[in-house]
Parts: sequence; C-alpha cells; structure tokens
Amino acid sequence: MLKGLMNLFKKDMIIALRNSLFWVLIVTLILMIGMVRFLIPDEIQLTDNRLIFDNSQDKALEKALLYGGLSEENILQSEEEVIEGVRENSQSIGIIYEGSLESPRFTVVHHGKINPQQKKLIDASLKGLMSALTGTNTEEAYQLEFIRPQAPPISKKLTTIPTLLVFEVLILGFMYIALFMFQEKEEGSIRAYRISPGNTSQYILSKTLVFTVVGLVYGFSLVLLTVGTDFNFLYLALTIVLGSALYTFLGGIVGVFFNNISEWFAIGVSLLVINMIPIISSLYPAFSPKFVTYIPSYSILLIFNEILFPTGKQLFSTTLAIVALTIVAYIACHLLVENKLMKEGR
Amino acid sequence: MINVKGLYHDYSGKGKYAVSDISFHIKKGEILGFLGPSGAGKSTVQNIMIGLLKLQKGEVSYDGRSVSRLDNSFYNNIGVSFEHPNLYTRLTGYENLKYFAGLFKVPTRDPMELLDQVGLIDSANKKAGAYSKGMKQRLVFARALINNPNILFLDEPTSGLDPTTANKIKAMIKKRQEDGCTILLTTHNMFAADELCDRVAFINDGKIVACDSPRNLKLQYGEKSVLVELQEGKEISKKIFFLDNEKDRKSFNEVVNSKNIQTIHSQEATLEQIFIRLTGRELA
Ligand SMILES: Nc1ncnc2c1ncn2[C@@H]1O[C@H](COP(=O)(O)OP(=O)(O)O)[C@@H](O)[C@H]1O
Ligand SMILES: [Mg+2]
Repeated sequence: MLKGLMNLFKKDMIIALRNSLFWVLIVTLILMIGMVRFLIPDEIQLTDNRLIFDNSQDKALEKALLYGGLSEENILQSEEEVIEGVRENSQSIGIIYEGSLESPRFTVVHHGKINPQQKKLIDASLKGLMSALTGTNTEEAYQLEFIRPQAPPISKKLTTIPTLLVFEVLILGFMYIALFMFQEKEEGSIRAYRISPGNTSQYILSKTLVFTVVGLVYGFSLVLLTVGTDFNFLYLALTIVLGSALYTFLGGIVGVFFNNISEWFAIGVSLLVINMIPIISSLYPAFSPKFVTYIPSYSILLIFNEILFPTGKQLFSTTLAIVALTIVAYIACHLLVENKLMKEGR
Repeated sequence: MINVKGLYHDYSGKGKYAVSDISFHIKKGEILGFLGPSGAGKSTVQNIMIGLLKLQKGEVSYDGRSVSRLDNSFYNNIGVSFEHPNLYTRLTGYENLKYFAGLFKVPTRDPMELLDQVGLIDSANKKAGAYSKGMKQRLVFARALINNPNILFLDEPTSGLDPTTANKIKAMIKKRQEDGCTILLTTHNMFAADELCDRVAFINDGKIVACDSPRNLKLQYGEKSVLVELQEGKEISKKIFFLDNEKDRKSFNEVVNSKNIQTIHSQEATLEQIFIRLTGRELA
C-alpha cells in the first residue's frame, strides 16, 4: 500500500513540477514573501500624527516637544495650517496650545466624529503633553489594562504571514487537484488508471501528499525567512498538513463535477473567493460578517496566527474541529471520486 | 475462460443499442479477432469486458466469475491497449511505463526492454505528449504488456503503423500467445486478423454475423470464388464471384457470355471479401 502510494506520489510530483501553472503560483508566492520582507514598512505608523501649534508667548510646548524628539514637521505655525493639515490627512489630529503653564488651553482639531474611546486617548495624550510641559512624569495618571496576557507588539508586516499561509494552502489544494483531474481526463490517463490495480484512496492521497509537501516547504520557508524560529514547529507542520489535506479533499469534491477548467471556473473561483473572505477580514477588520467564522479557512487562519504570534488563546477544540471536517471531507471526496470520476461513461 | 453472453449496450438510454445480443467465448491461450468496420461496436464490447463501461444487459465472465463482481486485483492479470492513446502526456515514455508498472502487485517487466521491443528506445526520455500518433500507439501497446498479463485486450494495436513496425507488434502478440496469454484482438485490418487470430468474429452494426477460424470461414463462404478481369471499353476492372451464391453465379454466367473476359482465376477469398459478402459492407 505504502509502496504503491509512494510510486504515485513520485509520478504526481513530477507532473506538478512540469506544470507551468504550478510554477506561476510558486513564483507569485515567492514574490509575496519578498514583498513582506522588503517592501512593506516595518511600522505602518512611522510618523507621529500630531500636528502641534504652540500659540503661547514662550513657546514652551514647542520647545519641550522638540526636545523630546518630535519632528519639526509636526510643529506648525498657525491655526490655519493645523486645520489644513488635518483636512489633508484624516488620520492626524491637530492640537493648538494657548495660555500659560498655569492656565493651559488646548484646542483639538480632528476629522469627523470622535467616539468615547478616542476621547480618552486624546485626554491621555493631552495629559502627556502637560507633563512634557511641566517636566513631571505623570505616567501614573492613567493605566492600560490588558484582558489577555500581553503579547509582544507584532510588527505590522508580519501579521500578513498567516494570511499568506492560508492563501497557499487554499490555492494549491483546492484549485490544483481539480486541474490535475482535468488534465487526466483530457489526456485519458484516468482511463488507463481505471484498468490498473491502483485504487481510489491512493489516487486521492498521492495528490494530497504532493500539495502537502509543497505546502510544508513553502510554509516553513516563508515563516523561517520572516518570523524566525520562535514558534511551535510541530503545530505549524500539523496545521499545514491539515489545511492542505482539507482543501485538497474539498477541491476534489468540486472537481469531479467538471471536465475542464472553463466549466469549473465560475463555481470553482466563487468557492475559492468565499474561502478567502477570512483573509480579507483579517486584513481589513472592518469587513467581518458573522458567517466568516463558519468558513474553515477562518479557523485555519486563527490557528496560524496563534502559532506564530501566541496570545494564549486555546485553539485545541478549533483544531479538533478542523481534523473532524478533514475526515468528513475525505470520505465525501473518496465516494465521489470512486463513483463518479472512476466510473465516468458508465 | 472468457464467456460473453447476450450482451447489449445502450449509450443514450433511449433504447438505441450500440451492440446487441453479442455472445462468444475465448478459450485459454486463444486469440480471438474482432473484425468489423468503424462504428460496428468492437470497442464498446471490449470496454464492457474490462469494466470501463457498465454491464447493462447480458453477462461477461472470467473463469465463471462475473465481471461485475471482480475487484481491483483482477487488473493485475490483464493488459489493455487502447484505441485512442491515453498516456500521461507530461511524463516521458519511460516514466509512463515505470509508474504504470508501480501500480501492479505482480512482477512487472523492465520498461527499457519493452521500449526497445516496440522501437521507442531512442524516444524513451521524450515526453509522451510530444510523440507522434504511431509512437503513442506503440507506447500504449508496450504498457499493456508491462505486467505480463494473462489476458490481453488489444484495440486496434496496429492501425496507422507502417508495415515493418506493425510486423514487430504482431510478432510480440504471437509471442504473448505462446506464453499462454488469452487475447482479444480488435481490428478492422483483415490481414492482421487472418495472420494472428485462431478465430475471427465478424461484427457489423453491433451484431456478430459470423464467428469461426479464418480457414473455416474461407472454406464455408469463400471456397468457390472466381476472380475475373474484364475489359469494358478501355477500362479493365476486377470482379469476384462466389459461385455458391445464386445471384453471383447468374452474373458470372452473364460475364462469361459477354466474352469481355481478359483473365480468369479461381481463388481463395480474403476475409474482407467474405465480410463484404456477409454484410454488404466494406471493412475500412
Ligand atoms: N461514448 C459514446 N457515447 C455514445 N455513443 C457511442 C459512444 N462510443 C461509441 N458510441 C457509438 O456506438 C457505436 C459503436 O462504437 P464503437 O464501439 O466505438 O465501434 P468500433 O470500435 O467498432 O469502431 C457507434 O455507433 C458509436 O457512434
Ligand atoms: Mg473502436
């Protein structure tokens, strides 16, 4: 059994490596790694978004802030400039200081409405300004409380790594098993396979193994090159294997119903996009409809996130759910391949 | 060894039978030829026998075991050469044989040796997708032999091959038979059928019209045939008359009386001529 599987695995691997579409995907993924590593800035908020206009006699605030390391660009010379600056960049906030140390008056210029949370932040930052002015350390004046154990702040660019892992697992498994099936239908080699002692499980598993191995190589290269070595290797490997297997089986389930890529395209790509919604949600948190949590790739993304940037979340039951789903998907895929793909024209 | 009885097959499900009431048997070590024109139903019968098509009606059995009850291990013992080459186009000729061999749980043959025998050794490392039609056909034939099968199904193994290559393939088929292999050979080439087959089944419009050894068929249907060369104006034409056939005898008499005869030979009919006589249809 194992020998037969290895024989088919080698065959499928060779075919995959000779497939130009396969290399297109690999190159795309490598480009993405390059982008993460070299192009996306480490901190997206590199610049201080405060625009300060010190309208006091002695310019005490201005001096204090410049002394504290604030860039001169953040110091403006008139109220109009502040308003203009806020208008141009809605992310910035204008602060106009008047009066004296004894009776300071702050005017805050901002874009749109402010919610209570933002108001608190502004209060805190004004207190911070006051302490800069008076030279006293008032950090005790406010306090942050963390609900979870505090995770080290994640550099912004690294948060895209889990989404890239999910992306790879999705495309390779879901789409490529279908492409393989179409190729075999077109050249007729599936008919040759049908009159051999090779069976359905070998057929599915050898392909799954190809995508899993590629997934592991890609996934580990990606993570080691960007995040480093500080994560649970075994858990990452397990999740890549599970994710690749699950999406290969799902891809097989869909693939058996079509004969070529153009027939498959509308349905296949729609399903692929649906399964990418969790990726979109994680990149743009504003877009997170409730149903997203039911998409398997959501859970896989959650697990990847937790492996690479642990927050102490317990994901054992989530992992178990994915295992269960993978088993169910395999059974469905096996039945469909056995009774449809292997019985075509019967 | 192989028994086929009352086989029908309807592709469309509308009661239009591609083959109907097909019955024959093949003894162990025998080569049975399926001879008939394109579209007669030869491949359909073969595909039902190897399980690629569903057995809708009738019975196919191997040593008494129905084809519908056979499991995957049955395929360890059979070899199939397909009419339309179905190879892994992205694998080389050698890889096609090697990985196909890996599917079997019985001893298999050396791919290189087989490639050599079918004249593909020089193209062993070329991708099968880049092979010519004839090369693909030979590779599919070689693949059918990879597991030393006891039963061979050969669908048009020599069609489209040049005579020298076709002879190579025929010699290999003969050799398999000497090793005890039972063979169903489908063809529309009567020379191949005549040369190789112990018995030939004529198949036309989905039905078997005759089934016997080439010799018996000739004795039965072709014994008294006469080949006449006629002068008609400036044209010279050839005509065959089966003297057992009343209509033929009548027209032969007319020809003799017309005195246009150039030459006249009594001759043994070819399988093709017999086929035409039985079905009113040419093989090609
Ligand atoms: N897949 C198919 N679907 C529908 N009709 C088919 C199919 N394959 C063959 N036929 C029809 O069945 C008849 C027999 O075909 P086939 O068995 O291929 O003949 P042969 O092998 O003798 O040339 C033909 O009329 C052909 O058109
Ligand atoms: Mg045919």
